[in-house]
Amino acid sequence: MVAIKATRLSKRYNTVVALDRIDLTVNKGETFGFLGPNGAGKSTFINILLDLVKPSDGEVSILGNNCQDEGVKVRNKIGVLPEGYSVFDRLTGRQHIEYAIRSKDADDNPIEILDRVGIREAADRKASEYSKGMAQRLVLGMALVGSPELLVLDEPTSGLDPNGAAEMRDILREENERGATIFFSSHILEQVEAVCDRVGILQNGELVTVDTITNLRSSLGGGTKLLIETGTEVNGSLDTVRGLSDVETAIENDETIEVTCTDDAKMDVIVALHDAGVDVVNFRTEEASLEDMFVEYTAGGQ
Amino acid sequence: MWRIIATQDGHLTVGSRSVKFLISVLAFGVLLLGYLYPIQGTNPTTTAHFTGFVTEWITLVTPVIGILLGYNAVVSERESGSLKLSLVLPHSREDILLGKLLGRTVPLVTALGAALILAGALVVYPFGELLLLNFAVFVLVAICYAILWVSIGLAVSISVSSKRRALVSGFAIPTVFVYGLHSIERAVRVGLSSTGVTSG
Repeated sequence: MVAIKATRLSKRYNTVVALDRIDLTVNKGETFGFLGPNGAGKSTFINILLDLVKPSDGEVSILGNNCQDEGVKVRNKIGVLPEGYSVFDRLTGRQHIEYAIRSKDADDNPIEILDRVGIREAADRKASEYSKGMAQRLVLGMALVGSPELLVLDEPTSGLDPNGAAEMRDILREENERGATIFFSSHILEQVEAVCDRVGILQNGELVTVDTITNLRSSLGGGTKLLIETGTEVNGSLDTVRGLSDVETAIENDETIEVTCTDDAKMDVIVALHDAGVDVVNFRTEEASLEDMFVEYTAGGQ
Repeated sequence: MWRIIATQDGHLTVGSRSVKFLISVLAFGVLLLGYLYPIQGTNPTTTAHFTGFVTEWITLVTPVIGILLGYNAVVSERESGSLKLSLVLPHSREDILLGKLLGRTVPLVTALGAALILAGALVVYPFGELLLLNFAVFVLVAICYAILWVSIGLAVSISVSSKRRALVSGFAIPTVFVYGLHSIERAVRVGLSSTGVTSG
């Protein structure tokens, strides 16, 4: 079953193309990370999902309902954490949650929800006195009302400290285990890496790639980074390493050599260095982070 | 669904001190006139004459309150971003608009209606005469007039992009169409009577 289906979805603002023929399918039950630098078109895409913006071309549906023609029906099934919102000045945290409960005709307990997002003790304070992080938790709470089938979250961790971000991820995992589909955008890569089944990378309004993190890694030259401590100058032997097949890059950095290569080429690198008379004091490997992939994918488009 | 918006918006509006104050001023003015009219007005004391007596006060104050209630209904929430919280919930644009209109007209209409009925009672008691149909129509017209001004304020609130613009254009309308025309009408009348074209 399909949670989100976009077909040739485009948005133009005068001469600027914000979204260029996006085809995207998000399946029910998955956690999908929508990744891209600021200004790539992530928010435009989400705003079209929420019917805050009309597409210039193409269409998108959520759980079988067209987002533009059946907006109210769509928004009844989803929970939303938008970006660029502000809380209602005169209402308390509890009243915000109650407003969402009435609007969705749900029967949640406001205090339980506030407790879940970690601001129970501030329930009866005016939301205008909340910090940015507390407001973000509050609006996440509003999104959780009615146990929606799909959560749409635009930059959910913005304004949260590392602890808050970790709690946010825990909540997203719980929601996913309950059966909810999660679609969220972020420009912070670790967040996406930590919770997503699949990611879509958006660059200048175009969907550059959609894949699982594992596949993205393997498509990136094996995705292994080898860090070798030598204790001495390496001189000419870097070129030897670069000459090996399956080695992408080799850089010397403070008596340490950083080599990106496929998994299989690791030993060849060590052996080659040894043969060249370089002392290998120590070495370790790192998995290529999503950040490396992200740079790889998006740098070419610039 | 508009009920939810209306309740929500009513909370936000009635909470505002300036709105409370202005609605009270309108209501007390009407009551005061209801008290003064039997004492000062010309005989016979009837609700029909009283309506003439109170019309000027209502036409003067209601536009200001209506605009004040309406002008920031949408634009200020759009400027701050809290409108987004309503738009991402299952509300249609129409429900939000209707809810806002009702949330803001109900306090004004209730206060105005109640004040007029109480003032009518003050006129009738002890010596006045109640012309029921006539008075009921007057109260209804006054209520429509109040709704009209809140609607104008709301329309301005939807069509402009900042709260400041809404305030300026919101108050330009009654200034021109109510107070402006009123003054012109008076000037013309004074002019006409002083030149002897009309008398009295």
